[in-house]
Amino acid sequence: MKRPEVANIPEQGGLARRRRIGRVWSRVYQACVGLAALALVILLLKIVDDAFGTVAVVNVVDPASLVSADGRSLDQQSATELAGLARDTLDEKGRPYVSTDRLFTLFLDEVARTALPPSALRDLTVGQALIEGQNFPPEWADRSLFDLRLPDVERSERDAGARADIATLLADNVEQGRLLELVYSDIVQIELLESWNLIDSLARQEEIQARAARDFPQATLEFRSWLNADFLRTPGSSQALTSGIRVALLGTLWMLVIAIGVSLPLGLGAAIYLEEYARDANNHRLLRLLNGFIETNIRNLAGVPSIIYGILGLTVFVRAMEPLTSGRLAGMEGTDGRTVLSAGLTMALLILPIIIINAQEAIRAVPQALREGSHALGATRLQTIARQVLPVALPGMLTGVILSVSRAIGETAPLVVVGAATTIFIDPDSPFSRFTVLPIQIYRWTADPREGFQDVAAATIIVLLLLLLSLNATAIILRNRYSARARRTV
Amino acid sequence: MIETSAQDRLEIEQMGVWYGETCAVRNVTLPINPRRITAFIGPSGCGKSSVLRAINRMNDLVPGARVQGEIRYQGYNLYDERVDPVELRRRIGMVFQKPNPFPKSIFDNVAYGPRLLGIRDRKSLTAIVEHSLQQAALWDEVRNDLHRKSGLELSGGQQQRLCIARALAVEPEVILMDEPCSALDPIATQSIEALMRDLVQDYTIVIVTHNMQQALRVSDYTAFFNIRKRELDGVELRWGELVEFGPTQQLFDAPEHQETADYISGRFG
Repeated sequence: MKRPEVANIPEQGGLARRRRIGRVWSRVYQACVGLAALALVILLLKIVDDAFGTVAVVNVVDPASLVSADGRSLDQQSATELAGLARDTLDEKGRPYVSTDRLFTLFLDEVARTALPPSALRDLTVGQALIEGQNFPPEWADRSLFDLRLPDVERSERDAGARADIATLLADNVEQGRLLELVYSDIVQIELLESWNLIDSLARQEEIQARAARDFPQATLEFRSWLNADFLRTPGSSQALTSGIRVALLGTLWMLVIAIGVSLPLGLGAAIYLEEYARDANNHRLLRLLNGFIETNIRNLAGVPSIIYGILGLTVFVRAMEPLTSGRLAGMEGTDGRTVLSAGLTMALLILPIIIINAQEAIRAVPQALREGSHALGATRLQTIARQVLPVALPGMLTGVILSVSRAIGETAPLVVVGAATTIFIDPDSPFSRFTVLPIQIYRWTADPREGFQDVAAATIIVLLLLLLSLNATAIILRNRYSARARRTV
Repeated sequence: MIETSAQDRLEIEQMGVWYGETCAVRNVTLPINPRRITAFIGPSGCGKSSVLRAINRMNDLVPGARVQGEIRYQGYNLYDERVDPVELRRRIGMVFQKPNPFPKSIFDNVAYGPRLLGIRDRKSLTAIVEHSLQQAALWDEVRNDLHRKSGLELSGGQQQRLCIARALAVEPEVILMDEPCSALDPIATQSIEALMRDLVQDYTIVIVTHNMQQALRVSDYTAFFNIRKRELDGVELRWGELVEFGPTQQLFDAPEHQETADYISGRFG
């Protein structure tokens, strides 16, 4: 009886062939990972490429033309001088750079009691509107505030008077720095002539410089990060250079808080019922059938296209529940139901199935032995759920929250249907505010053909991604802390 | 030979356990004498665990489980409407086959039951925890780690003794043990058996075991269950029945039934 040599087996059993096939497949799997990673890298590269780069900018009004009579530059001029510039500087068509409306708004923001609604200002006198301690000529005390604000359509004598009066009030009450800002943003103004991507800026520097020298001799070239602190602080604008995402960022946060605040308790409650109560033997047979039906459908709901949730939100929250969502029931001056509350509630419905399913799975993963151990010591079902099931299930539930935040933060379609504004400059300050969110801003700016808005969109995408990552990181840290405590051995 | 008071005796009478349409065990009639160890032995699937779990109504938690017949204790049928299963489980505690400490510190594991009873005061809790761990012969091994260590960090035998301490902390009258040593090594088994002999001075103990030597070593009474089969419309029905109950020595030395003798001597089939 002779057995084959071990070394001979390849010839007989095709070991070499098997190894070859194994190698090929492991390469195939590797390639899959590689392709996925490549796609991610390209995506990130494209965004970063857009968000940073060289820009050619020019001042509409040369600051050199605004020096004072004795030759002091803008920074060195007093508040009164700057207010004078704001009042008197005219463009080539003879219109003031700073409109009377703009001056009046600044006056309201910086000087007057701005908590008042615009309609109340009409009846207020200057004396009533000013905050204590601010200066104004005593004879103005009884002047109507509305009197100060007249349209500058016709530059009537009266208007000129009003402009002068507001400018005086501003000069007396506003810091020099704020007025300097006004002069720079409204008179000097920076205009974006062209912007280049990061890769071009680095690789073709000379070419860009040559082109700028040829086409825009008066322009300056500078390297710009479209993502900067001002970008986060300012609302949108018709100028790419001064556009910011503050309103959209606040809108996204409001919407997330409402959505999670509503769907988390609801989802946990539903999951606890479905896992701990729905299968009870002493439930009626019909109820058990119904529970099974509900459970199946929650799973299906998680796959419903988001636009359909938008239509549901429009019908239910925006239209049917308008008195509530517009804020009229809460005594606010709501106009319609297209508020951040409606958006948050719609998003809550959209993420509810995700939260329920994950919470259910987390609860189901709690060993039955823990429940039995608790019951055997005389715990009631409520006590067992509160003291054994929920603490152990918490990390899994947080997974659901992570997934649903990721989903909610990027959704666009349902919010368009629910009535997110595309152009809005006022911060949402209550659940009953008009709103916009980051993805909608991105969508709008991406579609904007004007120079620079592609770059603004890219910077917004970076903010959205960073926000998403930081929210997820928080949830993951929380989850790990809890699961470490719960496991601590096993 | 053994004095017992009828009040504290558990009387199982004509009891059967059903899961949905399936009968797990039936025709069980036996007494469980106070401050004695009663062992349930028998092959897998003979329903001994079902009977045990019926005693403190743990079966209530299993969807579709039903119990027929009566279990009388202190003048009540345990399945009477008026009996509160939560209160019942405080009086009849349970230790499970696989040690199931809670994912909490040793202290919190033992204090779990007393806290359910509303004891919040730190001093009393500490006293209860210490006493219970001493009773379970675990105190010396864990006294320095009460708050530092999770119950899950102990060895298997220590975990099981922790579960016993946890059960003792609510001062039960009866302790049900469902194969408490099947997941343990021989040395840990020995310590649990010694512990049971200690505890039986104050508690009534019922133990389910696969190990006949264990039943012989620790128990005062033994109940032998066996499987019954019947063909019905081509489907084989299996259920368990009580075959024989008696003082352990007597049951092992001179079993009344041939089945019992076969099982005990290992000629099972």
